[in-house]
Amino acid sequence: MNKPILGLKNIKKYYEAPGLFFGKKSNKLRALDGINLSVAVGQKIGIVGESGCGKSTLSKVIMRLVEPSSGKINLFGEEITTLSPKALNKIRKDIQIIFQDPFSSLNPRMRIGEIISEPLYIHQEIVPDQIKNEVISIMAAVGLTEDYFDRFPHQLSGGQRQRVGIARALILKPKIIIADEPVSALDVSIQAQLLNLLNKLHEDYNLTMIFISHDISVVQHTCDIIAVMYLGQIIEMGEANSLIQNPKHPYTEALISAVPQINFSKNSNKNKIVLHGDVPTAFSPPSGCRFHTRCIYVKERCKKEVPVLAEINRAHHLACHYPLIVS
Amino acid sequence: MNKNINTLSQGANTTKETSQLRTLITSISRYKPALFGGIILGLLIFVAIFAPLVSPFDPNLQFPTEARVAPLTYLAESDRFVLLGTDQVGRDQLSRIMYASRVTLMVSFFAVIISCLLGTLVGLLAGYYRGWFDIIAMRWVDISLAFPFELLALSIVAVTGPSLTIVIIVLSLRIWVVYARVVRGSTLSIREKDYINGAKAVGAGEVRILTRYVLPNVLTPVLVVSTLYIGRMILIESSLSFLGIGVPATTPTWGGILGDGRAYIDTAWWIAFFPGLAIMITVLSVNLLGDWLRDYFDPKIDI
Repeated sequence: MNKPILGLKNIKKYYEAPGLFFGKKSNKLRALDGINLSVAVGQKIGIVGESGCGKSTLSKVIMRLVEPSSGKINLFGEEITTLSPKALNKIRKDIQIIFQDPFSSLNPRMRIGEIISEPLYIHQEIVPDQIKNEVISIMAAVGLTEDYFDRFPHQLSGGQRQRVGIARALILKPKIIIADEPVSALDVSIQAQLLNLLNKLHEDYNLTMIFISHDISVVQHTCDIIAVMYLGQIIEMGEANSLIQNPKHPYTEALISAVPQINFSKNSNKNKIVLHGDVPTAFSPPSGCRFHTRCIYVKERCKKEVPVLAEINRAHHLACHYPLIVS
Repeated sequence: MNKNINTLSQGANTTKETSQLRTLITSISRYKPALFGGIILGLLIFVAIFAPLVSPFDPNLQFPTEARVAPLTYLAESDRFVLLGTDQVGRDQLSRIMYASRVTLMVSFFAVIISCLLGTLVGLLAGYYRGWFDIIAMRWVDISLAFPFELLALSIVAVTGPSLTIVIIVLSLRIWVVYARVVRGSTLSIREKDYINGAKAVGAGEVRILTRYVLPNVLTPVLVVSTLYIGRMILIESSLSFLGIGVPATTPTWGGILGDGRAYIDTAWWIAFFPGLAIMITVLSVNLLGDWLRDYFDPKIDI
C-alpha cells in the first residue's frame, strides 16, 4: 500500500436545526459523525449507503464546498481544513468532483466549450491559444466529438452531459476525482458505458478515485476498496471482492442481498434479507450500535454499547459486536 | 438519433458562421409582432430626438382664437393644417405630442435603467450572501412596497419642486424594489444548483460566480420585469403629470396633455384621445419587443 494521498480524521458535520421554542435548545443533525478514511495513490474507493447516510455530505466536505464542523482533512500531507479561500483555490486543481445530477450541474447559459474551458481560464495554466485544443482533446477522451463545442447543455442527453461534467473535472489534470453518484441519474445502458469510461480514465490519467453510490453492485464493478456508511458513520470497510463475498456486518449483508440477481433456481429469493423501517433520524441516532433498530441479529449488548470501527482482518475494518460467521 | 445529432450540429455551425447581429436581425424579422414593436419604437425614438425638425409647428405657439379645432382642419388665419387638431389654447396637437414623447421616453427609459441596475445588484447580493444585508434590504423593500406611491411622490416633489430629474428619481425609488425582490428570489434558487458548486470546485472566485453563473440565469425575469415596467413607467409618469406633480407644467408630456384634455372630453375629444393613443401604442410596442427579447436570450428557445 502506497502512502496516503488523502486522509480524513474524525470528520464531523452537524447541521443546526432551530429548536421548537425560539431556539432555546437547537437540534443537531449529525450528517457525518466521526469519519476516518485514508486513501492511497491510485486507489479507487467506493462509498456506499442508503439515502441520507451522509455520502454526498462527505463528498462536499472533502471538496470543502461544505465546511466540516470538526476533524481534519489531509491532502498530500497538507492539512486543508484551515486553508484560506485563496490557498484553497490553488489546491482545488488537484481534487475535482463529478456531480450526481447532470441536469443541474452545467450552467444552462454557457456553451459546452466554455463550461469545459472555464477551469483553464481560472487557473491560467496554459496560453489562451491552446485552450481550445486542450478542450477538444479532453472532449475526445470522454467520448464527445468536436461538434459539441458550441452546443448548449440542453441540447445534450443525460449521458452526454455527464461526459461534459467528467471533462470539466479532468481538464485540470487533478490527482483525485470524487464521483458523487455519477451514474445514478442515467439509464442502465448508459451507466455501463460511463462506468467503463471512468475505469479507463482512472488508468489513463493515473487518478485516485472516490466513488460514491447507493448501489453496491456499481461500486463492486469499479472499486478496489468499499466503505459502507450508515447514519453518518463508516461501519465496514474492506477490499471490494472479499467484502462482497464475505460481509461481516449485517447491514452490508443486507445491502448485498438487495442486489437483483438473475437466478432461475426456485429458491432464489430465499436468502434475500429485507430491512424493515426507515433509516432512523440523524437528529437523535439510536443508542449503542446505530443499526440495532433494524438489525435482524440484534442482541441486548448492541442497544447499549457502541461498536468501534476496528481492523479485524488485513485491511478489513468493522464496527459490529457480533461479526457474521462465514457460511 | 444519429440523424438528429447531424442536423443539430449543422444548425450550430451555421449560427456560428453568421455574425451575431445577423442572427438578431433574422430572428426579429421572423417574429413579426416584435418587428412591428421594434419599428414603432424606433420611429418614436427618432421623433423624440428630432422633434424640432419633424414637428410641423412650434408646440408652444398659442392661437386663442383657434382653440379646440377638430383634427384634419385647415386654419386660414394662422395658415396651418392641423392633423390632430388644436388644444384648449390653440396649440398644434401633433407638435405637442411629438415634443412630449421626448420627456415621456426619457423618463421611462432612464427610470427603468436606474432601477434595473440598482435592484439587480441589491437582489443579487442579498440572495447570494443572505445574512444581515439580505434582512435589511428585504425589509426596506417591504416598506417601499407598502408605502403609497403617490404620497411618496407628492411629498418629495413638494420639498424639491417638480423637475425632470426628480421625476426619474421618484420613479426609480418605486421600481427598483421590484427588481430587487424578483432577482433575489431567482438567485436563491440558482445558488443551490450544482453548477454553482461546480464553479466553486474548480476554484472560481465570487465575482466570477456572480457574473458568469448567477447573473445570466436571473436575466430572464429581469427582462420580463423591464418590459412590463417600461410600460408601467410611461403610465405612472403620465399619472404624475396628470396630478400636476410631474415635470414642470410648461414641458409637454403625454400624461399632462391627457390631463388638460380631460376637461374638454365632451366637446373636444381629440385633446385627450391622441396622447392616450400614443401611450397605448408605446406600451404595446415595448411589450411586443420584450416578449421576443426574452425568448431570444434564452438558449433553450430557438427563434
